[in-house]
Amino acid sequence: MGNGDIDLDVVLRVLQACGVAVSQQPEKDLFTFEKDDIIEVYELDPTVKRRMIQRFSRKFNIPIHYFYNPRQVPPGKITC
Amino acid sequence: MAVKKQGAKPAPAMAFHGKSKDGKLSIVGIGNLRVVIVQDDDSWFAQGLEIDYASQGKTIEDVKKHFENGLMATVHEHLKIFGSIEKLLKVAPEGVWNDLLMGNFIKSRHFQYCQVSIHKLSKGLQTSLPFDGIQYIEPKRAAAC
Repeated sequence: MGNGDIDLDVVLRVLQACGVAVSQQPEKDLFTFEKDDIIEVYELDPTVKRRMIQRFSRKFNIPIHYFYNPRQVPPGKITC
Repeated sequence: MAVKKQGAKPAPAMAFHGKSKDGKLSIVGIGNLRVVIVQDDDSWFAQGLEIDYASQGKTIEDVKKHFENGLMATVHEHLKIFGSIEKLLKVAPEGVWNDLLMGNFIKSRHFQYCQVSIHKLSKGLQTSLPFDGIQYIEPKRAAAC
């Protein structure tokens, strides 16, 4: 993995902890992300790259450091 | 099918959403959406300009495929949930344009992108897919233009 890459599992956990509803379509690696009026579907690899992390941070208003240190996500937090 | 078009003047982006006369069939057309492709370490990242949607992939072909599959699925979700694509039709923010288009120019003093391909869909797919074409703008070195 290069600098700034994060495992998909970690990214999904942070998104969910920050109030993004995540669902996966089984036939492809397609993930649906929903928060408020934002609905986006992505075909993702097992590793999420730096620019895509930046995008998720911007689109869903999640502090970027949460992705790199998920323990900083406040427990029980449902919106970021 | 990819049609190589070098140096051609890009047609303006457009989008529309309508319904058939009986209201049963939704028709969505998003044409000439410009998508900038940049390298992201050992991977590739594609960002739409007129629509703020993006994808990543291991190769340039991969990132294009992921963009098209993901955007198509996103349009379907919007139609299913909101009944329109209005909420999807948002231009990428200024910071994203600056980063992707101008960032490298400022750093290197050379414009490193060129428009290389317009992906037109086959007739069969055009009836089921929600857009007719995508103009990919790739890094100069990758596209060798």
